[in-house]
Amino acid sequence: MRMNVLRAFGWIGVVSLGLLTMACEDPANVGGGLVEEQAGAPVVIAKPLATFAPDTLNDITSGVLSSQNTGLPPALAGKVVDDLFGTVEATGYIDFSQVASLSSDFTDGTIAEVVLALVPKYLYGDTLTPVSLGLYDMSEDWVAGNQRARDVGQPGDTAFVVGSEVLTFEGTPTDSVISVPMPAAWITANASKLQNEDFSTLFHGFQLRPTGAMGNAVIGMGVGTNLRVVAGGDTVRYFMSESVSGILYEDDALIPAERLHARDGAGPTVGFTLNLDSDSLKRVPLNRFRLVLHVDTLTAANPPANFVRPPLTEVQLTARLSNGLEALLATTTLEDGQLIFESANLRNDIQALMLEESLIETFRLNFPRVNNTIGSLLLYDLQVSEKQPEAILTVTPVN
Amino acid sequence: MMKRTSFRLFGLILAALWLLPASAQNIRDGSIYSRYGLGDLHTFASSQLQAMGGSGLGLRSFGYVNFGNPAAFADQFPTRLSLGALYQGVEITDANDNRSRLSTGSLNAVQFTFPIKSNKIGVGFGFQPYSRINYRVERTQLFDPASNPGDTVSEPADTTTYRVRFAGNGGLQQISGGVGYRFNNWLAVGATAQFVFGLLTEEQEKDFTSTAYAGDEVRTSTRFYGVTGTLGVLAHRQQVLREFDELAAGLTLTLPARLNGSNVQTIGSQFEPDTVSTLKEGVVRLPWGVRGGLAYTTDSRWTLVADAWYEPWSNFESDFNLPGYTVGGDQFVQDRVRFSAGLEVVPGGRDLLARYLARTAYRIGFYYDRAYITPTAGADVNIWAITGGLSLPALFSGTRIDINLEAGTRGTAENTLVRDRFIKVGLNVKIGERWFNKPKLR
Repeated sequence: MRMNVLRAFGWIGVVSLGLLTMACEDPANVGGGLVEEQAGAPVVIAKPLATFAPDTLNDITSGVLSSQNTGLPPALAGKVVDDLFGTVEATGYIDFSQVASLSSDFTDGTIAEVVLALVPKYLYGDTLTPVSLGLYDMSEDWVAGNQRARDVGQPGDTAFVVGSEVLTFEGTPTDSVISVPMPAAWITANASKLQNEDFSTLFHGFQLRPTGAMGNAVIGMGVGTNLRVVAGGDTVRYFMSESVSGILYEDDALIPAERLHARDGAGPTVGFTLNLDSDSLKRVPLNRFRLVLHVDTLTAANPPANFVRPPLTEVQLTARLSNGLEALLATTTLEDGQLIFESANLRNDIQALMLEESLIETFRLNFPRVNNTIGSLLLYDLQVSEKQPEAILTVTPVN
Repeated sequence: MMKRTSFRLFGLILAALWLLPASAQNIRDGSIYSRYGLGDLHTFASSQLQAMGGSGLGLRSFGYVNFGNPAAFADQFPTRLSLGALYQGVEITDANDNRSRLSTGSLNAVQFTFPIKSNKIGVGFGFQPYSRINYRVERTQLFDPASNPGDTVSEPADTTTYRVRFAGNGGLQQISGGVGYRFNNWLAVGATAQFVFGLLTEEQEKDFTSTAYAGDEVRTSTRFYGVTGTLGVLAHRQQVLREFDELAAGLTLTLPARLNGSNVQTIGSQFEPDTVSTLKEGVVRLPWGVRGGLAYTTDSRWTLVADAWYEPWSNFESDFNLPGYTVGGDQFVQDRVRFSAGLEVVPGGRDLLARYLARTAYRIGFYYDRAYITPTAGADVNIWAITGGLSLPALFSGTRIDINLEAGTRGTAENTLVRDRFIKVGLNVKIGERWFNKPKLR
């Protein structure tokens, strides 16, 4: 009996394996019509945001130029009073670094001149009137870490120790380079630093502060800004390698009704939450996600004569997480009056949120750090029915 | 030695496959009709009866144990072990005459029976599928988001096609144990308890032509377990028309069953391999069923059987949404009705000295089965099939190799329905020997 059983198992095993390894001839696309028509079919659901309210922004405005990062944000300086978006005052901090060894002719020679060459990369405000800025020495070393616009240089901020005024000057905002010759006394006082191989350590840079005497603009001093030193017949340029912008604003913007104001740098922005509570959005696959915000481009389109409001080119969507951190989810550009945030990563984040497996608590509009502007957006709020901010979700319902 | 080792190896492989029936079916393909409800219900009383249209509730068989009626456990003389494998090929045709051919292989059943007291009381144990889900279909459709009034930003470029693949596998298994008792010369009763368990898995996988959309995968797995029972009665009378003939009638009642279930749904996507599951607990309630059959045998050479079944699946209830069954919504189930009949001829009867071909059993039968599911409202899925088989005597007494064939159609190629033309080939081995006998001489 035992042998019989073994043999029987053996034969059945042989046949079973043979049957199990038989391949099907056709992947079946016949019979698909029997499956319920709606099964697997995606649907589009547009959901106005649950909340869409004013928030505040205190952006990181610092940057360090390195071989890995060539996107040094401009150092903003100046004061502008905008009839629409209100008053903004910016104070810039810049530092320089040595990029090559100094020649003995240079280090041993007498300094002939020192010129601060500011390279404007950004202008907001009056294009004609020169801007009066004060140039101050920085007494101690500072680090352009993750400094935030509203905290820089404010009471309690010990990171920036400002020394004496070097000079005041007027810069024409539209100039490609604003050249500021340094006074002889300052040159004499700083010669040992300027001609030293250890310049980067010994010299701490400048503060650029609006004096209020002239001008109605904020200028962003960008990459290329340098301190040119001529000594011993040799010329050395110490290029701007660190920048920080402190930004203050006043609550005097005249924002039209049913609009929300978001400004780069510091000031107002918009915070919101999604409406994902409906049953149709719970535990379903998310095939596509788009966040659509409508922007009022007309109101800001006609500034006063000779006044520029550079449009914001990029806007970021960030999320505040339950662990206190803020995460960048997506970046978009303004097109046809709409900000449409969409990316694979964003879809994954929202899918996780729908599956209640996300740390995201709220969302906020933010702006790329490297651009460092004071540009503004006017967004239609939830009251404007045809331009409501909304999330458009393509989902596949499941049983 | 080598031969024995090889057979043992195959035996082990077979045992492993039995232990993992669901996974063995994962890569196979079968009828789309198995998608609905709890799947395709499996019917297997014995390889003998399978070749006779699945009939034989009233049959007292000399060579086989009839698992269709537990009262038949009483009539046992040798210990029997039966096991088999099944191959099924299906050609599916839709209303547009599109066709696809799929095939699936699976193990059929293991049955073990032995007498406690010969022809008085006996027991039987079996393991076999209760239902099977085994399908794979796909379809491609157009998706136009702009047609949705809620979409304010879609452009024509956002219109895309998508392909959805639907697949299912798994099924319910049952382990049964029963006892039969013969009261007297004409009446036997029996009962079996069946532990029903298994995993039904449904998969839906979608991808889009446009990269703007992420594909998704949804897998719903529902695990069930529960106990049911069958009561059986078998009565017979000999010398009805002729000196050695016998007429028998059998009746079984399958009790309603409550299966506990747990449901896990997993959602994934092509960009995010991590998945998330949700859990739901619930029950399904299987209906009772009544089956009756008649069997007439002459002098062991001719056997004629006929059965009728009724199972009120319209009483089926589920806390889970199943294909064709939506909780609180459309529930496309109906009462199952099955009729079958079959004939067996053994030219040599029980003459062990007859020629080989005379000792071979020749079987034929047919059945009609109105399936318990209706994929669309009011559309019966009728199964018509003819069956046949040969039972070949082996060198060892009491051992037979049965080769069964079944060919039939399921459904109709109208509207969205499809017609399955299927052929099943079964290979079964039955071994019968006397065990537990006290040696009379030492």
